[in-house]
Amino acid sequence: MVTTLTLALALTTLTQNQDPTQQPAVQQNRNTVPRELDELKFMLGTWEGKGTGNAPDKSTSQIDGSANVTLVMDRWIQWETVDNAPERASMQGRFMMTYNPLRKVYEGVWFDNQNGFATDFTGNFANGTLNLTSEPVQMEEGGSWVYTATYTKKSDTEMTFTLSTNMDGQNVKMVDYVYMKR
Amino acid sequence: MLTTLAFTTALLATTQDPMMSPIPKTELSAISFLTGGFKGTGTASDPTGAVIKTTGTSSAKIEFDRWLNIHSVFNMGPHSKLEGRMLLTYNSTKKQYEGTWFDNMSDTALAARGYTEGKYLVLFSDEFEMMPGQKTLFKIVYSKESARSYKFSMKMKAGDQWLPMMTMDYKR
Repeated sequence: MVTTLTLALALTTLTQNQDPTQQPAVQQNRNTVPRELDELKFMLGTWEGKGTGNAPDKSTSQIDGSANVTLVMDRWIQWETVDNAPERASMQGRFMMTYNPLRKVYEGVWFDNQNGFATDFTGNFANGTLNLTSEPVQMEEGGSWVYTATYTKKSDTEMTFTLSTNMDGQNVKMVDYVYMKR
Repeated sequence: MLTTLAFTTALLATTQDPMMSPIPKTELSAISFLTGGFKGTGTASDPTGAVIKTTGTSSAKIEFDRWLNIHSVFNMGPHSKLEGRMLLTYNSTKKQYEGTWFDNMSDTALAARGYTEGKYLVLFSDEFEMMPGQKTLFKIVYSKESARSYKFSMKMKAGDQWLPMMTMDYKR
């Protein structure tokens, strides 16, 4: 945490004792909200979604959900969602996303009501699409999966979301959503 | 994103119930002393060793059944207000507490993991790159002092030493 604490404390000292223009460039940069974050602001708002979940046996299920997306703590896009699938427990979760200028990547951390761990994602934004790939997630039955989450702006009131994974060398689309702004 | 691992696993495992991880009630109860609203006073030490009086608030509640969201505000002088959140849970598979910190001054989340021992919750961060090529570790300790108070401390590793960065005393 404090990750920032050190930064904050350094800045405090600087603002108390020194000319702020003398702040090290990196500190200035890290305390400034990166402009790249603006690319994600199309997500802000309240959304209703409908889509499909795809199983390996080619069966599909209709899914629906909602997302409330806000900018919090100046620099974090907070995607809060509730998702419903037939005969499944409701999924509630939060995705915290920002742009890391040090690494020059978008980063996100996902939390939900069904797993006792967070999942880290990194990726990029191009042509209206945010493409994030997870760290390898260890599965209880062995092995690990890597997830790819893709958000695409279609218009000011429409966005798509897909989640896919790589299985046996093949990209498998697991969830496919269309969100409309409420 | 809807999609989380259990959800996707559930979609794939069509003949099984969702592999929803059990909620670690006992372990979450062990850190329930952090829940609720608190006001705090303390000190912070900057890299030069100067001590800064700090006031703040802490507000924590359980979200999504299993995540303790600790929302903290630190006022460190008229021009420096640090606001952040620690999202904390217990990973039953790895048998450890795991948390991620986000704040208004950093573009990087900080992950930490640890354990409880007596009145203490002790978390060690993953290696964190504060500036290019400059990595360090943090140690975060929450200690239950009474039903109405707790202490918070954070230290940063420098060589073989843990340097104090912040201590706070919180009261409901």
